[in-house]
Amino acid sequence: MIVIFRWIRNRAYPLLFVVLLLSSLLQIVQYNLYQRSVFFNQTLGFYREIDKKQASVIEYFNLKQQNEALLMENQLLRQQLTWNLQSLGVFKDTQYVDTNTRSNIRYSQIAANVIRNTTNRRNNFIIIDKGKKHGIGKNMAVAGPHGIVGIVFESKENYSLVLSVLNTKFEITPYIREITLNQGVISWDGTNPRYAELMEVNRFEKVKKGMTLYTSNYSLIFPAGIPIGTVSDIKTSLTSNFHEIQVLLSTDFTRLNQVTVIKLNEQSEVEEIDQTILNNEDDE
Amino acid sequence: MNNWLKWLFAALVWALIQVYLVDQLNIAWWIKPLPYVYFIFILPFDLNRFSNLVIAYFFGLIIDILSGSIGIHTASTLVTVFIKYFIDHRFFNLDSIQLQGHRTINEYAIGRMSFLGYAWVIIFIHHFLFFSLDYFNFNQLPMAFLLSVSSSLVTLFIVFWATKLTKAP
Repeated sequence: MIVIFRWIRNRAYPLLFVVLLLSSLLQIVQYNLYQRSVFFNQTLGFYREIDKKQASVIEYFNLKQQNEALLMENQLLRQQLTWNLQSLGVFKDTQYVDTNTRSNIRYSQIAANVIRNTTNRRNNFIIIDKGKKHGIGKNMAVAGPHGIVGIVFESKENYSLVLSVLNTKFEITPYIREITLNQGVISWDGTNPRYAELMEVNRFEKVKKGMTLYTSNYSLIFPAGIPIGTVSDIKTSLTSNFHEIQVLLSTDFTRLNQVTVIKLNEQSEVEEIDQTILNNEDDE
Repeated sequence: MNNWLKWLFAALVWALIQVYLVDQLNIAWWIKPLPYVYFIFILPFDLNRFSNLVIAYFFGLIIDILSGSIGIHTASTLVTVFIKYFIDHRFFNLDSIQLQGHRTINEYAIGRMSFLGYAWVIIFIHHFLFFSLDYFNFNQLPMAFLLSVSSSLVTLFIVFWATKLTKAP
């Protein structure tokens, strides 16, 4: 025993270092989405007041840009109105049916303010000031005035945690209206928060610079027709079957104040059906 | 006791500056300075090495809690302090620096250029650890390296001017 104690005493410094290091590394290794949401629940009360104050100050400095953003959004909505009137296909089912019953309205929208947002990490999250009380729940789409922002990951009574597009876990398939293409996966590579990558688009598809990407109507979360970004660069090599496309995201995440949470009113039904499909696949 | 209060105050101030000012600035996506590293330069070299580690651990923890990241700041600060202790005792004649009346290794104790070099090495180690833990992916290690080169230079600038403004730690 004496030998063991002496050994520990002689090496107390490296031992302490290793113990502290292991404790912090354990925290990192367990750093997955579940842990993040637990952390969000525990520390939310701690910093939400200071965050709110900071958000209101920053909001004031961004008023001009916010105005411009709202103008842009209005313009876009007007454009979409004409698409709806003309289109026979994909944008038709986002059209609101004007009846006295609410049951025909597929999506309802809840406006919210961003109180905490990061763009300088590999995995970024956003905290907004609306929660369960306002009807926000898990897996709802979040869009800003310019385009998509993320997906609600966890919601508390008054606040919600949103998984930003600038996160490894976020992936979405775009719809390119000019060539009616529903293909590929958009994800963020962790470098410039203005750009994302669009992978797995067949190289025989005629994607061109400047084409606009929208959310597709295959998504169970996002309604169709919300802008994602524009194609800013295309690389095609003979050795690969796919284009490498760089996408300029339409949302500037460094200047994000107001967002809209889009709630699919029959979400539970959709999830039920989705679950049935998954179960059937398991059986085979 | 007085010292401990002073360090606690400095730790809180730097943590707040980091989380609520520097993290919000968005200078460029490839510049993400972490000037809170300044805190480990104001810890005196004659401080007990155990206290050194414990202080670094809790300092990292404060920043992790405030910025909502888990363990990344803690791990990188802890390892940096461990390496800094080794560098201090291996490469500097601490007795002579102490005799000149300095409690930390600073610009006036070892000269401007050598202080800049020494500080940059430590800041770079910290930043590289931080970014590689943040990206947590071997394929993106070159990106973490580039980020830490550009960010550490900006941090070095801030740390250098902070030591100037506070009239040397």
